[in-house]
This record gives sequence, structure tokens and C-alpha cells, in this order.
Amino acid sequence: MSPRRPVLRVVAATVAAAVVTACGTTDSSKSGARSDGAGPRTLRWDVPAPGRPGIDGNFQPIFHGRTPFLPGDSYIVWNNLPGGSHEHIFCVIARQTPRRTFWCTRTYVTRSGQIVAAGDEQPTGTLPVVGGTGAYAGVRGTATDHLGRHGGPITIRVR
Amino acid sequence: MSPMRSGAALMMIAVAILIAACGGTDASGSAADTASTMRLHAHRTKFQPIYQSKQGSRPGDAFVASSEIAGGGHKEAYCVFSPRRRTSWCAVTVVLPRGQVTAEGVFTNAPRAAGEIAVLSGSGAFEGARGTLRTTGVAAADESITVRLL
Repeated sequence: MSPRRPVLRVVAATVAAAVVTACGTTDSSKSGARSDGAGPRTLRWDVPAPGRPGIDGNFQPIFHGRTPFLPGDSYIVWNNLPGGSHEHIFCVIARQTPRRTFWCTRTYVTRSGQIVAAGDEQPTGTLPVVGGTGAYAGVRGTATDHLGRHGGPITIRVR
Repeated sequence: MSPMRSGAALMMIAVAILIAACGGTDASGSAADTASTMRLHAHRTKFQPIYQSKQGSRPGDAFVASSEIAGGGHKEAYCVFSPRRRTSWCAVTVVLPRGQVTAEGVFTNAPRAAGEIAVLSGSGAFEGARGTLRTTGVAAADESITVRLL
């Protein structure tokens, strides 16, 4: 074996270890609490039919005239979710015709942190996830809410 | 070339590879360039209630609170009281000489409204920022704010 081979091996091993170590450290400091090394995550709640108003949730109108749900009106909704989480929806009505446009923000408060979604409330029930706290700090994704009179599913996909 | 010199040359190449590899990782995320924690102190200068109820601080009531930030800049907060007990939803914008940071979320200790909410994004030096904003009270006369950017 030539004297260069061991040198090459040592250097190659050192480089590989240094790249892995240094870049691994950088990654974890960047991702902070949000990654947990988990990558994409899905949260799903199957919410039962609304319970007693004021106990399990409530709807609070913020209307300015005698006719409800006019442009400029708003409302804030709270729903308890299974497992001790809760959801808050705040919407401002931009217009009703020719197409309903409600600007809404939804915050899901869980034991691991909050998840915030915001945008134009569509019939699909999907809004972009724009951030979070705790285990969800810095997340992006989608939140789909199909809550109706008989309850329904809420699905959040984040990464 | 002696084995010693050859080793030194290879080590220099290795260092260059290491810097290049990690530099590439940095460039992949713009928010990483601003990774930092900012500790700010704000003094409230204006509190504007937007109350529907006669009592105030009831579900559906809201307020706008403005504060000056020590060292330059200001902070604006808009909050709405939720029907859930002691809960309010707030949007907070911190305006600094280098740019803005916007945060949004729910506080479960209204009307104090202290805790942590999500930083959604920013402008200027904070463009594309993500992280969290912790406050000792969005409408307090004196408030400590910690913005942690990922």
C-alpha cells in the first residue's frame, strides 16, 4: 500500500464526519421545534355534533346593522375539539354577491402548540396554514374544516 | 509530493467541501439567514376599545392597542374577545427600522393576553420570516416582547 492511501482514507473519513456533524447541527438549529425530525404531519379530529352553547363552543356575531351577515360584519366562533384542543374562527364578510367572500382566520390550540390558518373561506373548507407555535412553530400546509350542524372532520396537514 | 504535503492539500480541499456543503444548506431557506431572537420593550401609547357590549371585554368586543418600541419602531395589536371564557384572538404587527414582523394567534388569559403566538411572515430584513412572538401582555402599559425567528 502506498503511503498516500491511509492519508486519503483519513481525510475522506474526516470530511464525511465533519459534513454530517456540521450540517446536522445547522439543520436542527434552523428547524427548531417544528421538525422533531418528523417531516409531514397530519392531525385529524372527528368533531361530534355541537354540544351546549357556551360549554362546548359558541358563535358570536359582530354585526353592525339589523340585517345580519352584511359586508363589514364579522363573527368569532369557538369549538372545543376532542382531546382538549379548541378552535377559534374569526371572519370578516367582504361581500355576499355575486360570490360570497369571507376573509377568515382559524387558530387550532392544541397541547403541543397552536396552528394558524388564514385566507378566503372556500366551499372546500380548506385554508392555507401560515404558522404555528410550540411543536408547530414555522409550519406550512393546509387546514380543511367540514364542521356542520352534525359535526364533522377537521384535517390539518403540515410540514 | 511528500505524503505530509499531500495530506495538507487534501485537508484544505476537505475544508472547502465542508464550507460549500453547509453553505448550500443555508441558501435553501431564506428565513434561516435571519435566524435570531429579538427582545423588545414596548410602551403603550394608545388603547382604542371597539366594544359592542356595554360592559366591554365581552365576546365580540375588540380593541386596537398601539405601543412605541424602545430603540425605534412601534407595535400594533388588534384583538377580538372569543366566546370562550378568558380567550381572545389577536393579530400583532411589530414595525422596526429594518422591517415588519406579523404574528397571529389565540391567548387564553384575556384580557391580559400574554403568551406565545405564531409569527406568520415579515418584510424587509424579516422577509419570509417564521417563528414565534412571546408577549407579557399585548395591551399592557409596559410590555416585553420576544420574537424568535427560525
